[in-house]
Amino acid sequence: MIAPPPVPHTDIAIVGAGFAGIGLAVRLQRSGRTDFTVFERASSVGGTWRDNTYPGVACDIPAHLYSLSFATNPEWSHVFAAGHEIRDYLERVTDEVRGCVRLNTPVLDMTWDEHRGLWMLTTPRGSHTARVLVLACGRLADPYIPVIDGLAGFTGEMFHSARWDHDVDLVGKRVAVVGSGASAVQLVPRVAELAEQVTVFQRSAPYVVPRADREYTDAERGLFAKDPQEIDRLRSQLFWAAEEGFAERAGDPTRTEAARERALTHLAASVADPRLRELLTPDYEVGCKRILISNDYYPAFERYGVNLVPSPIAAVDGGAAVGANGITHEVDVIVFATGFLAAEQPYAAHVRGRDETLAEHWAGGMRAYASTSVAGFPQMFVLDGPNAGLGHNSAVHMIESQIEFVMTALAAGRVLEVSPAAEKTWTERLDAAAEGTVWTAGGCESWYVDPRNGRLTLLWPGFAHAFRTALADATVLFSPAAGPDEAARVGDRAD
Amino acid sequence: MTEFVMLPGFGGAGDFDFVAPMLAREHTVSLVEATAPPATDTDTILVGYSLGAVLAAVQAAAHPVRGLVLICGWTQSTPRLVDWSIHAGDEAFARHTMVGPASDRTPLVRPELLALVGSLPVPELGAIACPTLVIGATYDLVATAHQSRLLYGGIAGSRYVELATGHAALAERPAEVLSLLTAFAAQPSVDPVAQR
Repeated sequence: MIAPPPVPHTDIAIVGAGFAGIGLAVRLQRSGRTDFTVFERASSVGGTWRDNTYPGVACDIPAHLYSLSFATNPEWSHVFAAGHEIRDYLERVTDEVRGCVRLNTPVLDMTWDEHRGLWMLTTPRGSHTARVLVLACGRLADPYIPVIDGLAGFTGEMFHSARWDHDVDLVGKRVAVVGSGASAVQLVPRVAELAEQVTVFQRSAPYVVPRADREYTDAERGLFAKDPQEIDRLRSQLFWAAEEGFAERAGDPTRTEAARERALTHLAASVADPRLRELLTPDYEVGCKRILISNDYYPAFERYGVNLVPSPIAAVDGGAAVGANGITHEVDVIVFATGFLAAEQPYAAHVRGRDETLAEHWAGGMRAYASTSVAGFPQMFVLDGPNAGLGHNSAVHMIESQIEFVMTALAAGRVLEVSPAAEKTWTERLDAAAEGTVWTAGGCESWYVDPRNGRLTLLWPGFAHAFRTALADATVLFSPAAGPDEAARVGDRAD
Repeated sequence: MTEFVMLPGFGGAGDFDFVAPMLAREHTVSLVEATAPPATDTDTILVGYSLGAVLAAVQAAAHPVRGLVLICGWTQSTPRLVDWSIHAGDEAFARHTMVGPASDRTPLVRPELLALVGSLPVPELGAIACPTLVIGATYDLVATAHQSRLLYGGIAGSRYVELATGHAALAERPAEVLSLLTAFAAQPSVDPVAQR
């Protein structure tokens, strides 16, 4: 009888090869660890920046800030990078760890084996065991398409903005864009240049402020290349300037007012037609949803053939999209710029801890100690998980704060687990901090909030620097001096 | 919850227009114009900026406080500084000399406060016994980072951190100053540089 081949083991399994997964892999490698594996379901790395290839895709955080502090890039062409530039950057960063990345390898199941103290990972290419599991699956990875009457019977072409079908030629077509969020604001002006007619279905109007973009000069890029400290200085300046944006969203009415005025002045300066301006005026408090930056979104509506419907698509009837007012719009293509499954992360159903799946654990909304460790899920870390998103500053900074949390925890070299008490205390503190903020009380419906319970589960309700401090303090739980009851004790102390 | 007392610089209360409301989310904050003596006690964290830093140091030397933060201050008004204050009534001159090379910010200047520079008391640094954070600014052409470093040298229990700004640190990097104040309030004796 032939023994079955042994199941390959990796010390640290990382699921996902976007900013978080690749960033952690590089930090692990540079710290001298070599026994880790990055599993990626797609055929290349890059996460969001691989998935989103729609016309006009770009980042709305300055490029030098929206990159890893330990892998800076002197070559950014503009203050704000286009999507393909960020994707190329992540490919280059990946070169350092490429041998540890398994592409085309979705992890279908992750189960904690209590007896062996290991995670069991199932992929279509076989099983793996791992001592530590890191979920770096992203928070905006799985497109959300709303349920619409008659959609299945649509006679034209349709796709989601994050799954752009480049085979569909939009020249001369009648295109419906569903949604008016971050993706729509970028793609509508580009689609309007090609299509004969664009109809934007807007559930609620966004606040849009000017985009202060420009190209970096050769001299600037030359200086960045010759003196990396110049990049550090710029990053510091950009970071602290962005931090000021938090005041607009929490507790400072003067700054909230100023932010609202900045957006409404931009609208007034861009759109002459008072009726159109009214439709484009948000009906909730500024900051409740992401504040968008664009110089060409508003002007696009002044083009001939670009229409704004102030409602979602109520129904699809053959080749027509029907607004809530019952008016039908004949269209050839429907583009869904409708966002992602955020509050309920699809990966959570495939992770089974001691007693339950992560989806079950998160039935009342995502929760974790330090946004990163989940009770009942030993030796597991979530990057980009609960309350780790940000509206006013760089998501990469938040990811790095979590990466450092993981690095510190791993260095402790002991069984890493948080108690339910520690998780509960942390969650209660965040829920209290979120109460009455613009995100929960600003009168909008946003992906920051879990619609099942109204909890702010996607966003960190504070400064980015405070997140870093909070996570650094939270690693005390994993310090060698901490006893078995430390988790509960730390949790109690946290409030 | 900490009780902050803040002494502004040439811009008056507007110097703290970001920091004060953000601190007030979790602490009590009172602003004291340079013309009035601050009311402090041993629970107070006294924060002074620019000429307010000089007055804060004078106060802390005479009346013990829990902690002291001196932002872009000086040990005594130098001839250079007095000369600057005479010319800083010119708005463009003030703006260009107060901010660092990378900044597009416009600091506030109230001309009547400039006149105080020549008549400020000199703090007795050796009498300051509380944990003190001295914040200097690399591109400070007004007070100079050297003066902040002298404050650091003269106050026994002090720590020093330097920002990449001009004298107008609160106009250029208010959030960074806020982060330092928050960390100082939590643990006044921790080295801010080591903590970063």
